[in-house]
Amino acid sequence: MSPDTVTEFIQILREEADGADFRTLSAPAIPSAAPGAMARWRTRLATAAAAGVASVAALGGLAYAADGSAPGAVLYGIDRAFEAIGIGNGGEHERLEEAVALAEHGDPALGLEHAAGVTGDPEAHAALIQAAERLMLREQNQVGEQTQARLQVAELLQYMAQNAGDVDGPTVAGLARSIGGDPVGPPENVPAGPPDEVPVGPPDGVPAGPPDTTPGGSGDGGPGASGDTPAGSNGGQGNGGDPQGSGANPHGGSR
Amino acid sequence: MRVMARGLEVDFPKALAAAKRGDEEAWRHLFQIIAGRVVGFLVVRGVRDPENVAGEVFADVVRSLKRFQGDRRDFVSWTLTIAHRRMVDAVRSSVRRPEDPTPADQLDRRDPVDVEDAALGLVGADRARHLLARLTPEQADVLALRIYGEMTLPEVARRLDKPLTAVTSLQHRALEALRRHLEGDRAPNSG
Repeated sequence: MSPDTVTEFIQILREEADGADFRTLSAPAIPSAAPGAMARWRTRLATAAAAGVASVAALGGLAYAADGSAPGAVLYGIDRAFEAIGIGNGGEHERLEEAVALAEHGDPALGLEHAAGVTGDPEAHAALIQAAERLMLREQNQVGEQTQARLQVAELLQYMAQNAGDVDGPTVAGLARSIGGDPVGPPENVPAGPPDEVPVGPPDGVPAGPPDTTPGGSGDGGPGASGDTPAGSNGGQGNGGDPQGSGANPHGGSR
Repeated sequence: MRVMARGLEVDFPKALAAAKRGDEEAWRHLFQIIAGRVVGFLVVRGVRDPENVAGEVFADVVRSLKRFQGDRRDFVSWTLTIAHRRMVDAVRSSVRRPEDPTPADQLDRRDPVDVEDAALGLVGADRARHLLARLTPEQADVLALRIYGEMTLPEVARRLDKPLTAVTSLQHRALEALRRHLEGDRAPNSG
């Protein structure tokens, strides 16, 4: 359901613009050589605009899952959504390079989110988004020390960029889960909902260790990325890497 | 594939060439491609008198058409670039003369959301447009140019004269805000 939300949002606006209401009203009075035409056209358009451009209901609705939508449901897939309706975004490699650039420009969370739009692996996808959200929360609340997270993000994105086209989903997911653990933030920033999208991973506490596992090299260094020190200094409930592998909800939001 | 009303994709190059020669029917065809996009963009961006501004945009397009080269998508994004420029001018001048009536407010006063639909979490185009209009101007610019102008992020960055990272960042925040609005509207009590 996730990328679809955005896709539908865009599609609905696009269809409206290309649909009869917006288009046909202009047809009889296209601005052309005749000066009067424009005025007539304006009048019709004004009428339509004031009427709120009715009958859009026929276009159908945006269905937002009332339950269980994963955090970031609207966030992810924006690039895919645009692609789905025919707007190219460059290839995977290009996008990953953009992600690296974003992270280097001081916005690691955005880099992760951007990268998430590339991966086709649902688990990696979710883990990247969740890592991005953890980082955003930390940044908003000015919690924790950002340098390590930045290093981890850079490492992860480099791995993805170097392996564009052949990125190992579990590896990405594992690395992503180790980033920015120990989420802290007011619950209202975190939509409540069962984290149903993420398969249960290995129960290791995937802590954010020193970035000694070079992702490019160790092919199987996935979810069990080594290291014993929990991420961040304040251990919270010790779920630095979210032991259940759910990772979707920082504890504040869950019931 | 492409979400597009049927008939809009008909042989663009031929239509363009004919329109440049002054063929009315061909121009009508081109006009149909962009008319709704321009209007949609202006409405979403809160232009007070979209009909007038759209008229200016189309007049610009007619004037400059001979210089235009490209395919259908280029044509749309080129037109939306013009629309954006006109929108900026319109906003500037309406700040100077704030006495204009505001059709946008009339739009806002209507409640386009069907009660049943709202209960089901369904949203129509009206609501989608309203949500876009609730973003900050910069965020709305990015999304609106992408949606109506079919521009890629680098293209948006060029048109808005902003770094790519800034534009990507704006898109990101825009989507975040959209999500908040959607969730807030959907479940006002469970926040």
